[in-house]
Amino acid sequence: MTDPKLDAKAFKLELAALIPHLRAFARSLSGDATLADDLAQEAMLKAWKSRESFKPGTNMKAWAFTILRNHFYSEKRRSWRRQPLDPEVAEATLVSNDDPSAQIELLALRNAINQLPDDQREALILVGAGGLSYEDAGEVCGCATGTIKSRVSRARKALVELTESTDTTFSSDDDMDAADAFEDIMAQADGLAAQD
Amino acid sequence: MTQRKKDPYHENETRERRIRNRKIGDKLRQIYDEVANEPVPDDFLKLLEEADEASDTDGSQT
Repeated sequence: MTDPKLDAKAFKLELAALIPHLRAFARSLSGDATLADDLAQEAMLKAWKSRESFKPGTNMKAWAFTILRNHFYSEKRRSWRRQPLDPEVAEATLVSNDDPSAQIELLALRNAINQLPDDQREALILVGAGGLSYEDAGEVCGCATGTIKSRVSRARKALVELTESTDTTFSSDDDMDAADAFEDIMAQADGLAAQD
Repeated sequence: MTQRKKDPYHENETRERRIRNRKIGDKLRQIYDEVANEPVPDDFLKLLEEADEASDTDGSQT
């Protein structure tokens, strides 16, 4: 048997390294910075207490995310999500970026993510931003890998539609804004180049 | 490198979708990383240390 003290120390270091991810995942679940940090702290302590149940060699991030997510839902904190996008977050988004069209696009995406159903939002965050595999995300959410795949794909589609409908409100008669038009031109140019 | 398709319209469609998906993916990570890259508030590490010390005394009793 290995020295349990040493294992605990290694575990603590690994868990400490995951704190930024616990905070980011908690923020995406709760949408409120203060409540999210409470959630992340409680999840961290729960993870520490149940460290015996962690299987070495498996993904500790996925394991800790599972604890955080279960805690979030058991505490019925999902109601936190029902609030609209935090105006402070919206304002911070608008002042944090130098490029005005990037600001608007980022804000539009935040809004769109906020409108996603909970199961799609968490699947998208875990896979698209948290860096989990579909398999690990399935473990976290307690569902099959295929279910995660379809949730992520539906979420992506919904985000494209939601951000497209936002784009149109910022443009004139034309249903394209400047960035889209530019992309289209580039896409067409690429397409023509590929033809030759 | 890539296969050339005969249908330029269709190709533009998929290209555009790919560009959009990539842009959404980039921004999604940007939103996540904004939080993940923040310095960890001190109380997190303090709480973890306290929990570690508490479990040390627990452990000596078992």
